[in-house]
Amino acid sequence: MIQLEHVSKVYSGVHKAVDDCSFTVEDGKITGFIGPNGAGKTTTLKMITGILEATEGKIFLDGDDIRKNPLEAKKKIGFVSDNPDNFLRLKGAEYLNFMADIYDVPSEGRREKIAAMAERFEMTDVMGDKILSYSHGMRQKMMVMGALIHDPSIWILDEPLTGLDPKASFELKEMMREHAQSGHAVLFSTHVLEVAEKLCDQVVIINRGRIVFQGTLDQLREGYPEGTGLEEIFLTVTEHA
Amino acid sequence: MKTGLEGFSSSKKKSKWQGKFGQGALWAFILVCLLPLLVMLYRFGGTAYSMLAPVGQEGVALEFAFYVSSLVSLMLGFPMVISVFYMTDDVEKLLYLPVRPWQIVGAKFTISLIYTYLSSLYFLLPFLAGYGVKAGAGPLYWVFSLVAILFVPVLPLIYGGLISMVIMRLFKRAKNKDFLTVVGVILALVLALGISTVTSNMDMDEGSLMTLILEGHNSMMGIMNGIFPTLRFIARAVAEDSALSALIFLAITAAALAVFFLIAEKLYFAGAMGMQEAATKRKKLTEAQSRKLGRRRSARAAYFWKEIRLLLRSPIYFMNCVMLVFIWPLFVVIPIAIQMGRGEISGLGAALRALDYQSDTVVAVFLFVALCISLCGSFFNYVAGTAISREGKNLSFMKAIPVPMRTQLQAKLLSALFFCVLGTGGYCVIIMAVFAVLFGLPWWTLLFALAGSVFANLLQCSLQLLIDLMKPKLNWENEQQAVKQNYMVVVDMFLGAGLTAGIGFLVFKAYGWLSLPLIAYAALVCVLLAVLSAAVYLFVMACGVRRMNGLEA
Ligand SMILES: Nc1ncnc2c1ncn2[C@@H]1O[C@H](COP(=O)(O)OP(=O)(O)OP(=O)(O)O)[C@@H](O)[C@H]1O
Ligand SMILES: [Mg+2]
Repeated sequence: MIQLEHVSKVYSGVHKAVDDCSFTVEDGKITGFIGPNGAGKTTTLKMITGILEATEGKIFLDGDDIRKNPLEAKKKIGFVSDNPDNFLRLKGAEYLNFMADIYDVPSEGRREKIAAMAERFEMTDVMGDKILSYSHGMRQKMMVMGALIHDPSIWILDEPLTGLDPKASFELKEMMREHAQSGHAVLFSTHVLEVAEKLCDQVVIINRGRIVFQGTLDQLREGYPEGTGLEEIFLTVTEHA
Repeated sequence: MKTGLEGFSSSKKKSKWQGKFGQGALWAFILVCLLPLLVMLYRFGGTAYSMLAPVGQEGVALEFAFYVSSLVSLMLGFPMVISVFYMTDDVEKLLYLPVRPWQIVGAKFTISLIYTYLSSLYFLLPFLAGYGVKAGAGPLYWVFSLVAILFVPVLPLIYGGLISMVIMRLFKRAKNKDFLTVVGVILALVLALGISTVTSNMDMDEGSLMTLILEGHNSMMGIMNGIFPTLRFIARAVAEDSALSALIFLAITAAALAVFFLIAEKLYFAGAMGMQEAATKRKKLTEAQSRKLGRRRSARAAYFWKEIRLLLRSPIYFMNCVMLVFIWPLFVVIPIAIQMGRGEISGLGAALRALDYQSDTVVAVFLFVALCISLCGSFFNYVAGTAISREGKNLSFMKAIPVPMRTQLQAKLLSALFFCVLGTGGYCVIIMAVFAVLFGLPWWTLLFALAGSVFANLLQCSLQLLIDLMKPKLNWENEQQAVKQNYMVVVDMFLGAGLTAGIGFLVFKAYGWLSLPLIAYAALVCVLLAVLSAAVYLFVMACGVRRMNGLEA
């Protein structure tokens, strides 16, 4: 469970990128985080994961305050950032093992786990190659695998589906569903409304740093005539903020 | 905007004035550290003039300065040129633009030249100033000096560029391109050094050398040209206000540039295309391989090995941050070997055998040299000095993982220390072991050499890390910028040199003042170094953690 209480972020003392955001990501549900470019999605996710410090407000991960108890809180998170071009000189297998060491994953069953994930994402053949030689989508898959290696209870994914092929995208969505069904929290940002529509139990819509909607999709559709497309609703919501 | 010392103090909101003040204090501190070196070079220039002017050979001093500066530009510039020309990922973006190869090469050459000025300026400017003031030189001297500072580094960089293009063309299709490139770079450096040693000390018996000296009028100029034939002209231009020589120098340099661009037009694209190809095997890992890769480590150890791997595997990082600390002995060994080959120092073996290796003086010299070499480690590598900058945008990774910042900084420092101690103390210990076996140098010296090396390098690495923490360069697009467009690295270099000179001087002098038994003195030096480095280390860790929390990529 993720709780945000009146969180704001001011860049360089002038630019307020996130403005007094409060919302809750519940366990057992997939929450979609949507908003136009520059709305503050990445900024919010980075504050939740402890990469950025919130200028104001409090953030709790399963009850742990990210500021007061950062190490405990961070252990619970599996975070996929929006930039997969990291650690390019490591081999796939080295990277995953490095992440496993960093998150203190027991050696028992570690290799089986890596093998199973590689199988699922069809990466088995390239585990011995450097990430540098991967395509964009393959790098993205590698980052997802690295983020999930320690069985985190909270998943935070910043545009995780960009660049993935249909199969990988299907697998990742499937994994997100399974994770939510086993009673954990999944928060992911996206621009693709169809994905949000099919996948999410909850959506949080952010526009210019402010939360403009929070709830289920059915709740979002309320007040609009029957048959209005999600796209239209989204455009209206983010326009009149 | 992040200013230098921001984040070191606990309060978050800071007035502009404080930021400015922090910045100013930082630069003042750096200046104070650099000052001794600049003064030394300045005085050196003056002394060289007053010593050589009476025999009419003062131009030789200038030629020598230009020669050393050219050689350093070649040694430091060549790995840089190859990275700038080929290994930055903007190469791929440039390839589809409708521009001619020479235009790209021209732009990249200019960048390399500017990087080179950063270091050559420090060296030449104070030297030329000292010389000029002592000589009471007229305005032409200063004009030609400026010409020299601007254009002397051109030829070394042309050499670097040519060799790079040939290497990249040769290894275009090779599998282990990164590795081969590094090997090629090292070989080329060795070759360049060898050739310039062979050609610069022309075989001359003492008689003809004496006549040459007595001729006066800078007749000796030209013997130190080596592979830089233009130096005699610019040296003459500066020494004798000779406009003709200056013109010849400029003309040759321009011609060399033209030839360089002509060759670049033919050779550059061939090597640049496919530069981004990385080796891939596309094979399932075998059971044994995956077992080996799957070994479990502590977070600190894993982080340490990650640092080491990235440093060794990225050619840009390896060549610019690590390589020199391992290959520097070549620069000592090659000239000696060449001269021995010519029989110029034939008595060396006998002289070495004649020494008394139990005597305090000999042992003290060994220990002192070992200490100085270890202190110089910081001169040859920038692992700690770029530890934070190298992260770039990936700084967020450091913050996202549940590993305390302190542990991460320790792992980074340790990786720097690993290379430094190996490349300085390691060599010393090996050499001293050889002397111990062959000539009976006392074995206990090895222990002090190693301990001294660890503490000396810990001190230097901690300082480098501190400087990088103050002003890390995080906003880069390619690795080259992290290590070369990083002005602080030059500061590291000169700070390290100043510190080396200072500590070396104190250790040397205090031996005489204290008149302790050598072994006690060595122990004392080690303990003092240990205390000093530990204090600096603790300080860096304490403010480093705070600073890291304040940094935002
Ligand atoms: N490092 C930074 N420094 C200053 N301002 C920033 C920084 N990063 C983001 N911003 C600003 O914060 C605002 C929100 O950016 P953010 O990256 O969170 O948007 P986003 O919702 O993730 O957009 P996108 O859909 O394009 O990924 C933007 O106005 C951006 O200009
Ligand atoms: Mg974003």
